[in-house]
Amino acid sequence: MAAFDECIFELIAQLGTLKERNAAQVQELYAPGAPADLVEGLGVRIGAGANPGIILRGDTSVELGNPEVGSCSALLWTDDLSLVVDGRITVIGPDVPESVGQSLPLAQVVLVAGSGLDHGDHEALQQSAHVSDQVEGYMAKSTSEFVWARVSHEAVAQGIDFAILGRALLYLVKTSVAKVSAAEVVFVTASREDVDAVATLVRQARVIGARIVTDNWRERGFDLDCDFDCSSCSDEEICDDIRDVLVATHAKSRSG
Amino acid sequence: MPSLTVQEKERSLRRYKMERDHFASLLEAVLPIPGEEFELYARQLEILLDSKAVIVDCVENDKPFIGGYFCNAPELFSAMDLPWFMVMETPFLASSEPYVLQEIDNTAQMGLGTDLCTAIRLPIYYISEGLMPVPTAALGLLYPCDGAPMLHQVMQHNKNWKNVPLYSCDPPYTSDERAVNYFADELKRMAEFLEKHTGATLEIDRLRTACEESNAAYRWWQEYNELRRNVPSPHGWSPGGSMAFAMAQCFKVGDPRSTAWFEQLYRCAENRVKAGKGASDAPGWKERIRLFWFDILPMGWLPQFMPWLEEEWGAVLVMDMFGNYPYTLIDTTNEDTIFHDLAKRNLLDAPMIRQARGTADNFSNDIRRTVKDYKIDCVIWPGHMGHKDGSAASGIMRQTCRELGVPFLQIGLDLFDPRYTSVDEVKDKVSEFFSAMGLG
Repeated sequence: MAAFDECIFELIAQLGTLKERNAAQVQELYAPGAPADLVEGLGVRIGAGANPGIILRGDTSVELGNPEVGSCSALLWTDDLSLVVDGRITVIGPDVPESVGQSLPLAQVVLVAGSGLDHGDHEALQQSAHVSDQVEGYMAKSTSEFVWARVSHEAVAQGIDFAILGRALLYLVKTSVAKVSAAEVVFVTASREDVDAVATLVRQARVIGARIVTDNWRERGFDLDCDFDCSSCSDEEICDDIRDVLVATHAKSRSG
Repeated sequence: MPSLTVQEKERSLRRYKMERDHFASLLEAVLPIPGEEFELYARQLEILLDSKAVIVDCVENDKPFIGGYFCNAPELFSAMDLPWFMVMETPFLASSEPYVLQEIDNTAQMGLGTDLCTAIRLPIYYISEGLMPVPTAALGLLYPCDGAPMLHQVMQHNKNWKNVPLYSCDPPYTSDERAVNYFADELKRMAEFLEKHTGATLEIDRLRTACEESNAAYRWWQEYNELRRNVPSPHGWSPGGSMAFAMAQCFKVGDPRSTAWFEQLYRCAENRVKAGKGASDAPGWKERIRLFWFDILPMGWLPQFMPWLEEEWGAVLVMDMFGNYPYTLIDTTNEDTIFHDLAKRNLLDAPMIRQARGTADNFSNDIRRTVKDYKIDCVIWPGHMGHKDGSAASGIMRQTCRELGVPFLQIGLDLFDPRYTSVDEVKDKVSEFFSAMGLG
């Protein structure tokens, strides 16, 4: 069982609840599996430098994932191909074209499977979903813990929606890590409450991910973490004595 | 309140007033210069001078004020209407003043090890020599480095300071929710300490107002940083990064003047982006290298180095450690959410604290994000002699840059003292690096 499988099970259960709650606003779309087909005829360019400039506030049609209205994102991977439906894009809540002028909350989760995936692929997978300037008309802000993005007027006019954004993400992930054989994307925009429900899972996943990153660096010869503390130190008793002496000296110095 | 003689008070303000006068003369020089950016400098200098005037008034008229640090949640001080100054402010504000070199030499004569961070040695010297305003209460900083607690020991044993009550928040090692909640409790205790020793009171409505105003300033800062992603970047080493940090976390925190300054900063940059202008207006100048300077700016020799980078190499400091924006806004719903988010900001997000406290992967993560989002061509870790924590992580930084395919340079210098590694030597190293990496 891979590190994130429990999180994926919980997410699947959580999504069931969210779909029920927002039954009128659920889309389940299916994209082709091959990377080249994913970006065929999208209407917006995908890939490095596709969005070369920045999207100014005045040029923004829709804002996604402003943390003040709710935001979270994660990429969860597994070596169990049965947990991921390749090409599926699930949208729970309003889509981009119907939200012009609005700021939508956003939970974005990318699920990835590959029979050979292991801890050594973790960082490359996480980086693969970092959109930066790779989707025309879409600017992900420089944030470290969530996705907060702007969609331009031009991109909306060209028809950008979560189907396209989902295909872009699938393309980026599949072309970045060769071992990925299936991937799907979930977007939740229904409400802050729904995004926060996913955010709880995202926080759990982040703790697991941090452990994997620490282990990976250790394998490369770097210790990210300090693995000792007072309770595990053989000099704890001496240190405590010194502390007592310092406290007494300090008290004496003040009273004098 | 510390009881000082008139002479002691005067002495404690002597340097402080020298610095104030230095900035007043800078303001006089800047005011007549036309241009939006110069207005920004002027507004910031005015705010700085106001802060200094308030501290001078407090000392001279026995009013309560505190000595603290940027990561002590200064929104609390604003809400309590408590004037404060940063105990380590001279190295960051005025270390390019020639008299500071003599003061650095004096720290060695005191017997302080020259391997101790200059930013810590200087305030130790000022306190020991009675050259720093003595506050009603002081706040310590137990993180990110081991050097700062030495400064606290000097505070506790100095004749003029030993009756100044000192409180230091205990920083947990981890960065999870439990750690943030623990630190939130530490901040609450800090507020109680301040109430007890200064007579000021903390009303939650006032704290909410200060945090909302602070949020407004941070929103502009975040927007501004997005503009720096543009090619060419609208601003380089100045204005921007360190000025924004000083405004958001040191001067007039949670004050509408700070918000107005940030809005103006944003407008200036937006105008430059719309006009296609880069960091310099020099005729024929072109941005050629986008640089991530991953530390404090070299405050002691800034004027000799940073303009040279832009003029000689077209190298623009697109991002630096203090200009970096990893913050989330403070949820002002209730007292618990406010303290929780203040704890997160001051424990996990604030620069240097963010990188050097806890696990080292923030060094790696910040480099990855900044390089990708800001289209960075190279990363410079200056290797400040005081940042031993970071030096221990330089292998991680180098490896991260290797994986990203971005050149990485570690120099080895003192950000506050140009004699440790001369400015010419630094220029040589940087020039060789740019040339060898084919960046120039």
